[in-house]
Amino acid sequence: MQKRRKWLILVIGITSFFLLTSCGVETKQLERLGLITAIGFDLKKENQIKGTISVTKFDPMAKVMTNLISADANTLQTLRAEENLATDQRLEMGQLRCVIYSKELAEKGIIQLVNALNRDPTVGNMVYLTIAEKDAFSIISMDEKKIKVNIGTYLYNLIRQNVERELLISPTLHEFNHKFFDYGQDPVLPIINVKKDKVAISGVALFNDDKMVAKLNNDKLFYLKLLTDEYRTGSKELEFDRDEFKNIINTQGGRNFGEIYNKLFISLDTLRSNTSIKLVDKKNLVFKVEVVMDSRLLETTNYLELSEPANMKFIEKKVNKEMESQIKKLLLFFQKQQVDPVGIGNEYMAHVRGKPISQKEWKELYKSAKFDVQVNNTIVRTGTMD
Amino acid sequence: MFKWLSGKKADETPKAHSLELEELKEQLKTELNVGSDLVFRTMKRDGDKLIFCLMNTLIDSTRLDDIVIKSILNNKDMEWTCESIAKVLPMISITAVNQLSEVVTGINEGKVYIYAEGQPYGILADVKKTLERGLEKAETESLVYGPKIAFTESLQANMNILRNNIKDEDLCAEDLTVGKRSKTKAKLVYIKGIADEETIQTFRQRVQDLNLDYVPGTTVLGQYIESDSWSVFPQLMTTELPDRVSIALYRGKVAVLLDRSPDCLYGPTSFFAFFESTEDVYMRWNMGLFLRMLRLVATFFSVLLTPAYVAVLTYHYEVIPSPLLLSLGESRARVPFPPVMEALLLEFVIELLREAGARLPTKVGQTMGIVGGIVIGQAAVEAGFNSNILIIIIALSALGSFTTPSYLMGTAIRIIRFPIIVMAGLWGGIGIMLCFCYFIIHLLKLETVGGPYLTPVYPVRLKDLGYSFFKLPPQYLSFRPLTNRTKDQERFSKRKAKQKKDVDE
Amino acid sequence: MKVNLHPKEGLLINAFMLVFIIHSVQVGVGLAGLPRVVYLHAKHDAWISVFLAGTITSVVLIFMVQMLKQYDSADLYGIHVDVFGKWAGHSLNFMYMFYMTSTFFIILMNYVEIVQVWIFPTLPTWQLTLVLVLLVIYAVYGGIRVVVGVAFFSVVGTIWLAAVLFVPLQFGDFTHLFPIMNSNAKQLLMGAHSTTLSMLGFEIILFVYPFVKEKQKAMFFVQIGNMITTIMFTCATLISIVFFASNSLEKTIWPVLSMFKIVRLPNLERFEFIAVSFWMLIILPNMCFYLWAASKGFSRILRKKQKWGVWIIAIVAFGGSFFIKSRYQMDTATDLVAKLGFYFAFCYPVLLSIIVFIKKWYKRRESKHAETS
Repeated sequence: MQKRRKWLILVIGITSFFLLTSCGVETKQLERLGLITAIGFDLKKENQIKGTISVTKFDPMAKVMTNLISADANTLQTLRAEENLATDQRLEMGQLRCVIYSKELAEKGIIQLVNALNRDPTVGNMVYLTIAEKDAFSIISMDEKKIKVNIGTYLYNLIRQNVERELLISPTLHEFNHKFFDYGQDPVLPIINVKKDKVAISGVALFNDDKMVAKLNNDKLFYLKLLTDEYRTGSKELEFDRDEFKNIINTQGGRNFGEIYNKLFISLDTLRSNTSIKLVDKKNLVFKVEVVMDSRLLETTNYLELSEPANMKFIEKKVNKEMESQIKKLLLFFQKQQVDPVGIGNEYMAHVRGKPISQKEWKELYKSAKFDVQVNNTIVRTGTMD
Repeated sequence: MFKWLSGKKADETPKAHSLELEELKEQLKTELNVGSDLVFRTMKRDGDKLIFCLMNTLIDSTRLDDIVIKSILNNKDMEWTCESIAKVLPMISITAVNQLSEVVTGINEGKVYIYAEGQPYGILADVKKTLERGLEKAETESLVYGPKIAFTESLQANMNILRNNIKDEDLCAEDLTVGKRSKTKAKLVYIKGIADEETIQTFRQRVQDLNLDYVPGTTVLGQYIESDSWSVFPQLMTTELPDRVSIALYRGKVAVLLDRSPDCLYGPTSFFAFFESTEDVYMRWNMGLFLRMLRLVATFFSVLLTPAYVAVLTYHYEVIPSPLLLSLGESRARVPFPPVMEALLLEFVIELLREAGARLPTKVGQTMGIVGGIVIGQAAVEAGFNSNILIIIIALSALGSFTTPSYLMGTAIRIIRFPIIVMAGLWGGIGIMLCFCYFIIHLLKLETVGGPYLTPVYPVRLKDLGYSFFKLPPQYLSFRPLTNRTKDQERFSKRKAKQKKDVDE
Repeated sequence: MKVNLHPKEGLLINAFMLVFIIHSVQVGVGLAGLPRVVYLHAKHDAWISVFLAGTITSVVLIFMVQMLKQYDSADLYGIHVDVFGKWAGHSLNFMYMFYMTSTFFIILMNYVEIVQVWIFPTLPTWQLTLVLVLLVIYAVYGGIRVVVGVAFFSVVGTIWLAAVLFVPLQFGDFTHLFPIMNSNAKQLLMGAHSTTLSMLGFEIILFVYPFVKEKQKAMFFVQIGNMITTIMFTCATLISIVFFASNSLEKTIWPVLSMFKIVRLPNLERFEFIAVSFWMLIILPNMCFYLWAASKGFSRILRKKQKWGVWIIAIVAFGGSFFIKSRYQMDTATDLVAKLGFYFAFCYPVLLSIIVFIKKWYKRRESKHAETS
């Protein structure tokens, strides 16, 4: 009895002590915070960056409010401190969803700013990083009434939706880090642009280390994604010379169909792909790129006779050839720009024993790499019609 | 707690009562100080004197008149001796006594003492009248399925119900007396050959060693014989359902029934047994399983939901996903208190409503609940006292705690929520986890009648999980729970139950 | 002091529980940083190192259990006295107690640091230390039965975290693993050596053994426990190598916790907060067992009440927490304990068991000699 009572007194004592000292943990009550949902970085002048943040805060009188604060500083921390002076609520990074770097900044290198995000445990790993076509400020300062939600959420949804539709390579902070810190791969980030009060993705920025060196347009994006990732429900439109398909165009007993284009377009969808890149010749650095694809033919601009197996084979062959040449072109473009978003280097390093080579050595080797591309596409279905 | 267990029993020196009638009267009057309740009726015949001593508040006067007095008067030529009177009384329970203390006890129990002057001893004849209510539906443990009959306050009636449920010659009912002064009758009930001898002995020992003046009921008795009386968790089950007791007895448990108490106490009962309802047994196994899982999950969330809300809104705003962020933030924006205060306040209101509802008559109680729930909740949100999301969370966790079939366990669960909320307010997720660890250790330390409290989860009895944690199809429960260490392990032949027919056989 | 320890019937535990005991004491704060420390030495073959370390541990465990089997029901305290006599034995016992106290301390401090870095940067060290120490004391007061129960619930309650670790795999790049066996033997062994802190905990068998009910089955279940740990550690290392780029794995202090950052549930944006909180349940059995085993020394050597020992060790550990302030000190202390652990848990028991074997063999020969003559 006595012993238990002592325990109880001890426990009560400690609890009350804690209550009295109110435990030195800093509270972060949701409604008292200004939540940064998007940050934009611009290069102001030499040695100074301009940060713009979109802050969501909860006001008891009004509905949810979004503020826009801009400040100049050298590091992210001082930037936040500067910005904190301009708001009535404490700024917190925990709900950060999207970071925009201006093109100008990206060309100079962004790893200092990315590392600041890495170190902060409140920032998640699934933050999207993007590059602004012109300046970040004009994107963050988009009129909220036109896009209905605050800009951070809008950008987050914009990118997420496109990543889920397999139109974009996922540009999360984690993936950027992964590719940046890997010697044999370079990161890519989407470029966003403001066009007539609309924010849209206009292409992809290719990085060499942390510096943006080139832009890849949306139409080429398909091949990049094909090489780095696998498609589950992708789609792609291919362009062909109509004369090559003369034999299989169905004229249905001489009826005359109207022709809008003088070319033939074939659209493939529910595309499932699997790409393997293999180092076949270590000495001459020959990489074999093999793409295996299943797809559905959904749209052709001319009435093609599809019930013949031979015709299908013909189309498949045409598609393969077209894709092969496009991929090859893309790889050579990468090589010329000295960027490696596909991860060729990783493949190389996975096959070389001994001391791992440095980034610099690899870049030298990369220049002399050769590619052998092979695409193997099977058209599995043709929709509800033959 | 243990100081009651080691009491000494005072021995009394035997003392016969006086042979003189007047003196006997005086002796009785001083022993039983009850005034006019104590009634004497003296009969005289040929100088012989016969006296009836009784307590008129305890006896059935028609039985006394019709059976006892009439049969003595009718046999006119009979001698008034102890033997002859005993011969003519058409009753079962008569005893011959001459000790004053025995006489006093007898009269106090509602017997009539018949004594012819000069005889060495007299007769105690039972003409007791007990007032009891009829059998009613169970109140605290309401059911949809299964028998609804409940125990009453009469030990005799309760034993009657139980014996009718279990027509097993091995059903033992040992007599025990609880309360040094009140001398309440109690029965230790178990099935010989199933219940573990050690458990029975522990129960017997703990009840016998109680050195108390008076025990108001089985729930109180339970508290006295539990091992850890500081814990909020009940370690022995009390129930008012006879069928629940029957099921428990056949699983090898031991029950104690107390006179004037409408509940039965039984054990050993592990933590998970408190989440079992008899309905699980009566329902098909898959429904039973679903309901039991529902109850466990509800309990878990009932404990966790409010603290999680407090922790997230006070410290971990990072974990809120974007779609939820706005609605949470908006609803919190108007509340002037920190989330801990807000949650404690609302929990307090809910507890008030529950308590008020329980104290008021049923009809008023219902109105109370509606008025309180809707009006106060609505008004609190309107006034900016609470966020409406918290109202949903608190209502959910209150509902969750009410799903527990045992009222005691339900209350325990509601109570342990408060320290967890406070800790969540202090240290967020770490605080919740600290409490969680504390309760795990605490539950590990508890025991029920010598057995571990957390069986069958720890110590692991995989086979028993089918009894208390999950519910399996009946053919797989061919054995009795291992934790009860039953002597007769098998309930039915396992092989026979598993025989399968071929196609088209 | 008696060499053999014969606990009451009710205190005995099933041999099966050894799986949970060994596994739960091995998994602890070490796991959070394991992939990185091994990677620093063995590069992308780190997982082979971890597996190697697991195998070595299993061999050490064979020695330990065989040594224990030489006695009827003894723990290390008893064996020491039996082998080295009273004075030397007791001083070795004290050294072992010191080792276990310091391990207890390091586990505690490492967890507090994790909490401070990941969740509450402003939380004063002494507050969380105090509460955790009290919690552990409360558990140890319940004796071996409760401590084993804590180990059991720790494993059952946190095993799902291991399943969550597979989520990061979808972000992985498997080319990181190749070429396999690129590191040389020395690097691999260095890597294996650096797993010491994570692998530690199996030496608890030296103290739990007298409480095991079916002693002949002990070996089997101890090996299973160690095997589960090895598999789990190897998987965690493998996933970390695949998930992180090499440079970032070298810089991430707690790769396993960092990997949880990627996990996202529909109603929970950031999983690492849950993981760090649950880590408490993972380290709880570690602390309980070390405190229990170290304080057991008080009742075995000094014949004082074990409760005194519990309080003394707890106060020492709590007091020690005031001396550690920075990450740098923490690292030094952790390395020191890892070094201690390497000698106390890996090397020394093997040595001791060989001495015991020789001694027993010698005795047997002598007694045979005596019979024949």
